[in-house]
Amino acid sequence: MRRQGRKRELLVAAVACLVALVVVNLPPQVQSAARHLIRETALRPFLELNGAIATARDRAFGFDAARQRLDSLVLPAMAHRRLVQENRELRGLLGLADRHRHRAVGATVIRLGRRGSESVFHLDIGLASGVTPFAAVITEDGLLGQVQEVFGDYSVGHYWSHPDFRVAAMTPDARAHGIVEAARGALREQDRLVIRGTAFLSELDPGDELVTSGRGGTFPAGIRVGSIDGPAEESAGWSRSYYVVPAVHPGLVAHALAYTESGAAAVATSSPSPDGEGEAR
Amino acid sequence: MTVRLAFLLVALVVLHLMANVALPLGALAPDLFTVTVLTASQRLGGAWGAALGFILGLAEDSISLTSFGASAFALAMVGGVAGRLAEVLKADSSAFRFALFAVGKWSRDLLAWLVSDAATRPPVGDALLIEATLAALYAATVGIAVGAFLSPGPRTT
Repeated sequence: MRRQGRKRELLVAAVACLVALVVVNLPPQVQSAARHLIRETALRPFLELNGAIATARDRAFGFDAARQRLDSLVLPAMAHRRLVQENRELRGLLGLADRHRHRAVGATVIRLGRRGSESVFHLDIGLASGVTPFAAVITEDGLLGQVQEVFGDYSVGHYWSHPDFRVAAMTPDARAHGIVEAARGALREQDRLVIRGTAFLSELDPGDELVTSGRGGTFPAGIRVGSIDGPAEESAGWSRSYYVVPAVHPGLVAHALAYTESGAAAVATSSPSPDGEGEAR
Repeated sequence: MTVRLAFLLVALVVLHLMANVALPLGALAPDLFTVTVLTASQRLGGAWGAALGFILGLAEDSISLTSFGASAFALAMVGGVAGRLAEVLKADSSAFRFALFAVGKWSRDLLAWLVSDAATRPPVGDALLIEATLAALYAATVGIAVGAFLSPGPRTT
């Protein structure tokens, strides 16, 4: 009897392990649906609590900072209006079409601190707000990350620190172009970015700014990515890589803007130079 | 299964989700899912440990964007093996339980790392030699403290 019980126990344990192995190898769409189901049921109260705490903290401590930011925007906004008018007149003289205006919607960033998911965030907006997969997520300082999965009332994305993150970047004067990706630091404390594939002769100096170039059709042009920290490596006289200090530190972000249109459509109608024009809701 | 044990296991699961999802404390939060699975394995047997490990692992995997099922596999394996080990060795000293929690947690991280997507998993040195070792000692300390709430004895069923 005892032996039979042991056998049954072993069988249950083996089945659990086998089913788990099957789950690991399921198609990505099925895995995404299963993840969504668990998030919407068992984890829902905990995710909502996380969002509520983030919002409350932002409201409690963010008022003075928000007022300062608002004040600092008054003069640039006045100058911007004049600039837009001049730009429109010049474009009219040259017969150019209007620039594409990007749309973005504000969202609470729900950070998940678990090991293995520290590069993943949730946004409390989804399809209902117009968010699309692969939309850029930004803060006032620059690029925070990218949306990966969108559901009815929430979406999931990854920060720039995720190993899958890539963005085409350039210097604001378009002197150097490259692909920026995450460079993992020891114990995740020193995570930073690295720009690869810049032309060997276009040497960059520490402090040089990098913005998204719009190439590849995913990120709109002109979003601040970071600044050059120092050289990383060079490839036999052909290209150089540099470490980049990110513009945004994910741990400090509680509120962000997510683009609400396909990046490809935005890039197709915008010029490759940094424009910074847009409107947020 | 005693009421006290059932209450403790549920409390550990809720605490884990509070510390890691509701208030993301990062490395400050111990891996209470592993502690829950190992406690269940010791007290209820490997089948319970594996089944619970599979369910809790899926919950953990649903937060991440890659390697869905990696934690479920790792926790199910650790739960199944720990239950068998506790039954064969029939030891219930604090030293044994500390070793079981520490090795169990380290093995869970190793197994999850092995079945994770090779393109996105962290380097082996960082993930297993430093982070996993420290996390294993932390989980073992918490596991011993949790065990103090329960009466001695390896199996309750």
